[in-house]
Amino acid sequence: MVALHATQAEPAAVELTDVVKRFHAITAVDGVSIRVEHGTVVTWLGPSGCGKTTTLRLLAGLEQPTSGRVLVWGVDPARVSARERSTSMIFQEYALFPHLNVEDNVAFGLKVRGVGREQRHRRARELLDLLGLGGFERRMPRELSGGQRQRVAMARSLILEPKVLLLDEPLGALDAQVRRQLVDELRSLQRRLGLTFIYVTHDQAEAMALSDRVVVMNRGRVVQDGPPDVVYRHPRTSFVARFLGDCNIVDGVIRSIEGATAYVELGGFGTVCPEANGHCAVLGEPAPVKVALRPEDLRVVPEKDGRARALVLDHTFLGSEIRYQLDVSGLRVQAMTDHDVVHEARTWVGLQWRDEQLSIVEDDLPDVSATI
Amino acid sequence: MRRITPRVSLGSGLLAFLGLYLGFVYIPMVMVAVSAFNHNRLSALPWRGFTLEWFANIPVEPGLLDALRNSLLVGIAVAFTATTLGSLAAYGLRRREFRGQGAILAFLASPIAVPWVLLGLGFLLFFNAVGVPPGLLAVWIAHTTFAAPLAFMIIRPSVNALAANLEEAASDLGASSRQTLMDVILPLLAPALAAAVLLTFTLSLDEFIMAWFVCSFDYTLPVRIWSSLKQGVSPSISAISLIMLCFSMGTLVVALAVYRRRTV
Amino acid sequence: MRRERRFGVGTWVAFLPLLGWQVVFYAVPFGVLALASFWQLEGNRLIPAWTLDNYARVFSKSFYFDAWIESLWLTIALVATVSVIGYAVAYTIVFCVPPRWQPVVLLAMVAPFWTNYLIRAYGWSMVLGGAGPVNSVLQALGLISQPMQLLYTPLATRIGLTHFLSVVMALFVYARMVSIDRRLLEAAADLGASRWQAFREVVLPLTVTALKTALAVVIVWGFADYVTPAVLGGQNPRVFAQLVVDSIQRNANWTLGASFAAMMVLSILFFSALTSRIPAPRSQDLA
Repeated sequence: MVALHATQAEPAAVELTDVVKRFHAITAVDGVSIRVEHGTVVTWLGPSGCGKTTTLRLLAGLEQPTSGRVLVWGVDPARVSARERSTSMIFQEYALFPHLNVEDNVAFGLKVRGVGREQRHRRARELLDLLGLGGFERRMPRELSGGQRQRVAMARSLILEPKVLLLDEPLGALDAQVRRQLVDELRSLQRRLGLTFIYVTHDQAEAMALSDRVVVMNRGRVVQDGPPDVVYRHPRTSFVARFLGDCNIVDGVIRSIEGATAYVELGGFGTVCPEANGHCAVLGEPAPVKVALRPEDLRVVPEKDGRARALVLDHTFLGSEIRYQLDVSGLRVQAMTDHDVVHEARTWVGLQWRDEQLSIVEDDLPDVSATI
Repeated sequence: MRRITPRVSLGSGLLAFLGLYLGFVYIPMVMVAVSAFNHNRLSALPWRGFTLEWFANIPVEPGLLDALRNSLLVGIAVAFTATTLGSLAAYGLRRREFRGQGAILAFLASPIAVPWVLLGLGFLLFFNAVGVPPGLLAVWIAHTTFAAPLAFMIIRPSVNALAANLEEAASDLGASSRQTLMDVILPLLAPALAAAVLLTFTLSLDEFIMAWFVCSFDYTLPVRIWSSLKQGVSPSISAISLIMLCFSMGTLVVALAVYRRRTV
Repeated sequence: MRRERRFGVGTWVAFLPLLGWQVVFYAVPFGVLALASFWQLEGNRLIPAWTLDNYARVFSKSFYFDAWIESLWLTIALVATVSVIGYAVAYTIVFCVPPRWQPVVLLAMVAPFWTNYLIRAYGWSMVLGGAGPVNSVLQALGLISQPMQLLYTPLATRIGLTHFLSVVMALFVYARMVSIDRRLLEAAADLGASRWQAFREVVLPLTVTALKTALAVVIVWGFADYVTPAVLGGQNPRVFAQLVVDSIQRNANWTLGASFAAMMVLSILFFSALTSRIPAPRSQDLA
């Protein structure tokens, strides 16, 4: 998509230009161009098979692009030996050496570079202390919990002082609570060390919690690229909208456009989309569109107070919130509200929303008839 | 689970049967041991006193030490070649799939199921046709052909269990191919390799019939024992048989212990 | 994303030595063996002159046929005894031995066989001999007045081979039996089956494939083992395997031996095919 141009003289930490990677008949990466500045956390987010891991492996120098250019700190990682690269990779499931204890695992990179025993073990212990694993030096990987293994893998990479850390679904095998804790730890670690993190995951919660920038990928292409809140609040396509969380996507018709604002008719009532996401330029008027709104942005209010009238079909109590299934002039939507008042099924309610929270999305999923 | 395991009375009966069965399994070995220590030249029983003379006689028996030496030489050579061939193949094929894989793997595994008489005969004819002289070289070839698939099958599961990531991780951390091999792969494969070496060695040491067909006058130990056997019970044979028994059983136990220590 | 598994040059280089070795030293000799049965012997050399003489001779003498029959009886006897004993042993270990001890028992059972089978046969020859423990015990018990001829009889061969093959059967059946879901047996018990019925209707059908595999091994050994019959069974009657070996070792009649070998292979294949037709567990039609 659109590459962000920086004006500094320093090379970007990572720069991919029109990168394509094919494996026999499969195109894993299909024309990706990205530029990442140093010190940021960028997450490649997408479903399995979208090309995010392949892209990461291209950055690690483990694969060579079929065409296009891959640069890390101005250097093609596949062309130089591992020791000359600025990257270090944390593999899926960590790939800790099962026959080495924690300290030897961490010191491995220094050992193969010929660093003396005393020195490398001292450095290893320092790093383990830094990551809260002091005292674990003699343990074997199989004796560690998932979270501990992840930290050992981090230590093993960080000891080599890379400028760019590549993380391949590092929290995949852990349960939710450990994951949340580790996300915070990773974030603070990154801030402290000032490294560039390139993070790959299919979990949108991780992506949004951790990153400065989210790159959403599907089928080898970058679909949207921006800060987490922008990508979440204003998805460009229905794929992005759905991937990042529950989302209402309804069919509507554009009646008129003024500047960047579109006036859209949705099943009998009208609304305004102030941020038309650049669609206006391509669409004629009137034209069918899809409009997206997050359930938590759709408020359920008493009927007389609403901008639109809806019939409650069902509600589910979720603890801190209630999820409603509603029918609005034949459109089915979801809303999430707090549980002050519970509206029973088959009652009429009103809906409120803020226009700025609506997005017009491109339809890139095969079946996008209604909401989830 | 009371209703699915046998009643107590039947259960004890079965356990007694198992005990008897194990006794049955060990009888021949016990006899060999008894006759090796029995001061009775003609037969294993009756017991005429404890003696070590048969063991002392071993160096004196014609051809016995030579046969032992031959067996050890061939055994070591076989262990080396079989394990090398097997581990190379296992490593090369790791985690990969290819057309006709089922057939090729079945082919590789088949020597283990083929009667040794047939193998021996086949080798005899083949060597004659090709011009390999009978002797230790022929035995080495025959045994390796039989042992290499075994080594392959012992090592293969370990190789396949090596996470693909491990080699990439080592490489990403800066290890050269050689360093990866020495510091990561070999240590992880060491138990399986050791087990393969031990097992192929004892297999070769114990193998009789193929060796008999192709060794001509360079007797291996089992072949030498065979010629003594034809003359009836001989306590010296019992003595050396007992030594071989203990050695083989011991090697099996060691190989198992080593194999169980593996991490892949 | 699953990466393509590539099969490149490096793979072949590592794999070729083993494959090449096996082809040259295993596949080719077998080919030669098969062909030799159709060729002739001139002096001491094998010459590729096609003939069916060897097979004609195999079928000509009744005493060859007798040897084949002897092997057949041996195999049948082995199939019967080994199946029963093997199952009994496996069942006992799976259901009567605590799980912690099962590997120990199995190892104890297997260890004696990781040795020279010649020595084992030798051991048996001492056990069954005139002055051996069997005869001594029988005489001590007053059951017989003078030593019985046990050695150099077909019975001795059967004992020797049962010794080894029962362990093989027990191992195969054990491996399959131990992984039977206990809940199946609990369900059977809950539905009113007695322990014997549960065994017959649940355990047996589920272990049939292991039985068949082990039987294939039994058949191979029944027809192809030379050492045990030679050491324990004596010269009269001889088994087929002995014919094969004698024609080679004593008479250097390789082509005849090759024909015998071919017959042996065919017999093994034939009987293996028979056993593989033991039906797999299937429910009967409810008429």
